[in-house]
Amino acid sequence: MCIRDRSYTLDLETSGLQLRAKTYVGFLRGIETFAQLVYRRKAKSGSGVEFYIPQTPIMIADAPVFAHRGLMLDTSRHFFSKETLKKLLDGLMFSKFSVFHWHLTDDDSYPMQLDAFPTLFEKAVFSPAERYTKADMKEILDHGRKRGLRIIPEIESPGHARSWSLDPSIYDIVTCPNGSSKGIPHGYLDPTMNRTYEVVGTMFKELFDMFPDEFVHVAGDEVEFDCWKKRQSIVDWMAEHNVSDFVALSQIYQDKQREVLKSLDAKRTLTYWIEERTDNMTYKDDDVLQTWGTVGNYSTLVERHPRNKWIISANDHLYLDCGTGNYFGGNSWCEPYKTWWQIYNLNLTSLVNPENILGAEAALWSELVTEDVLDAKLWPRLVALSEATWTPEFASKTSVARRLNAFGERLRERGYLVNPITAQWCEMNIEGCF
Amino acid sequence: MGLTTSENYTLSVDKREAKLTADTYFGFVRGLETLSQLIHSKSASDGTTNFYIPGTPVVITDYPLTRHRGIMLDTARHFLSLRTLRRMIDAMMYNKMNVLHWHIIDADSFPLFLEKKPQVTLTGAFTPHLIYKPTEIKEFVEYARVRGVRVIAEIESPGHTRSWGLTPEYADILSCPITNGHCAQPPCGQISLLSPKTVELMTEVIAQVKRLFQDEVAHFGADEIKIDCWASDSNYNNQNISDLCISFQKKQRELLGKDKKAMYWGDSLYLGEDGDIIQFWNSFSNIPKRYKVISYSGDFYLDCGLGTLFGQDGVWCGDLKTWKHILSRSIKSELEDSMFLGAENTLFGEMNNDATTDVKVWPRASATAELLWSGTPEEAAKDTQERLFHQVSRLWWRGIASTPVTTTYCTIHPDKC
Repeated sequence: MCIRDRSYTLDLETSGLQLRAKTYVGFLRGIETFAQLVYRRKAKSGSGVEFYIPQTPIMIADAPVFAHRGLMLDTSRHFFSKETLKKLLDGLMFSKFSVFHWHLTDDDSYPMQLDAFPTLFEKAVFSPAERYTKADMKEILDHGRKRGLRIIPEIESPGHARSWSLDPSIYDIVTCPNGSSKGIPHGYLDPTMNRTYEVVGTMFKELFDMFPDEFVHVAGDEVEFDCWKKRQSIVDWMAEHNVSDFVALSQIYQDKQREVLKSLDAKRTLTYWIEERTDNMTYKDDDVLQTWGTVGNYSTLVERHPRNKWIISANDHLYLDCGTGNYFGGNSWCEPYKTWWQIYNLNLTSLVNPENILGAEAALWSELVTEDVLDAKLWPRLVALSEATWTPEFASKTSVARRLNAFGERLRERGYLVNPITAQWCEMNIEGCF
Repeated sequence: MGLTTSENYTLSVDKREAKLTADTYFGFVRGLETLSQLIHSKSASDGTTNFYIPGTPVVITDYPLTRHRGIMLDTARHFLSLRTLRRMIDAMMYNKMNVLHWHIIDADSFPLFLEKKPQVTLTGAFTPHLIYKPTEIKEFVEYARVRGVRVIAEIESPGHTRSWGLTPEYADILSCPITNGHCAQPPCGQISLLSPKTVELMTEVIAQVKRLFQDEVAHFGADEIKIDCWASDSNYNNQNISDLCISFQKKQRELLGKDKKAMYWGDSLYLGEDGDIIQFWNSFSNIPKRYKVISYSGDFYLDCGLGTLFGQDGVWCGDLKTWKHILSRSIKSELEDSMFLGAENTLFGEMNNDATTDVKVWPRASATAELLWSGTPEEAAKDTQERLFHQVSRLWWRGIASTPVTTTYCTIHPDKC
């Protein structure tokens, strides 16, 4: 895949400034740095304020170490309006992120409009106000592109696909659409039906038309074999075709899906979720694997899949929903809450095989996140990830605290609701606390 | 409104009229809240909204199980705007909570304006703008009173008092300032137990609290008192520091006056006089002749599990206390003590500011409010989750940025979840 040049140089003297970059996106990164150099003070004469840049001349030559620096947001468990997403993309640009991974669909809802399946747009959404029209999607994608953000779509299958069943023409391909255990019913696509691959093909064709990015996330995780077991036609099919077990059946789904997607767009890279305990698939060398297992388990995964490229979303550092409860009223499965320091301490260069690591993404699953509380979940701790992936050399806690606190102030001024990273006295006396 | 104010009310609604009767204005406010909850809305085909009350006739006779149903906010670790504080009062009214315990000053800052010692405020606050002026406080207390919420000011002392001694006049009354390190967390410093200047300053602080806050209760905090802080100061050689501390607290109690009640945290060296109130963060103690309020860190502390001011994971009080955990807490044994008043959710402010207050307090405080008003009778448990969803929807509709209870799917299909 293509890693583009995002370097820039910024030269500031009292006589003027020069910002040079090889690409538009590199230029955008440089503008952000420039914005961070500007301070405000009371005007020397009269009332009002003036803006200044201290400590000139300044010469900066900068470039990110890891190209893939992202946030994943789940817009299926709770809906996030177009305006909220646009504001989020602005925030990602301010913090020099390069990727917005859009977890568009899941069991709960399918909020994206598709021409081929208009019933989903009526039945698989929480309400008419909680969905994205084609025009909305275009607006959001355009907004991201102009801000130097790659928007990578994720449509999850074969698991987490219950929402698909709300269209009667798709219903048959979803096993367990009504579920029986506590919580949202999970739907699993039937890998033995031709119709399944027809639907997948039709769906992804529209998706590829909408999303130009070279990556597409196809998920592939957390399949409950019980649902397949309960459908007699699947059991029969497996006997007929000598498929020994459900793991093999999952592999069949994955391989067939791959065929379908590659025939739509041979150049599109497929990205999969992967985690050490449930890892049982084989992948092609050009597949990208996104690991959500702990950092400690990553090396085991690399041993099994030595030729793939990786995106790190280690839950012990980067799962942003941890520590704030689960949707049954209990504590989250991935305690404790990941603080800015815990996020910063994801040391990518210390992991095995760093040349195969594309970068990292923080993940915000939205079972307990609405638009109102989105800012409170993200800022400013998310920015610690941008720092850790742009400049992986380790800075002292004092330095990170001081700079993250200052950045938080800038976000606040730009209209975001920003958490404190420490007590106010400590914000004003960093060395007294760090 | 005070400790013994009745909040009883009777509400009856039939097809012709709704009738609300209460012993006091405050009971009336509680009843109005219930009436508002009975009202449902439905969109008509022409786009208008119809409001109606289903299930009439309805007859409700209601009263709270406990008298003290509160939230503690800390405006010293992060200054909180009056807007945030007023919104908190609104949300408390929506949840029938009746006490705002205002942890207004601490070592970090002193935003309470002292009319007779303005320099203490102007040097003690984070900046001269981040203060609470007397008119603002008076207006706020009245704002709260009208909504049936008492405001209890906490002037924590003698621990956590560094911010009292930042003017030149009082610079010599601080022991173990910042660099010394005898404190639970920075900044360090405790006011002198020996200097008459401390008494002078304390007199003005208490007088100001009495001028601005109307409540019969004032909280003196008195937790995390570091004896070794004074012990490290040579002025205290050969003195029994504990005795000095107790005398200090007795003097403080005297200054408050017999017409008021004092409130202290359970680890205070001095536990006040008969009729005073003790607040427990740890475990309950049947101290005779003292009223009791609980806010166990294992159940009611709202800041647990969200990281510390040093960037560490929340360690000392464990994981986040969820709404379900709060509702599962029985207060049966506390209720056996006739002087048990109720409980508070506490939100210490190290990691809280204007942007995060609503998100951290709600809906968990709604669970506390339910526990303290109704207890958690077995029969109610089944539909508690569903009723909490509705309460959160109402909070959202009223502009409170509460965290959701669960996913949208589970809100629409509560039977599945």
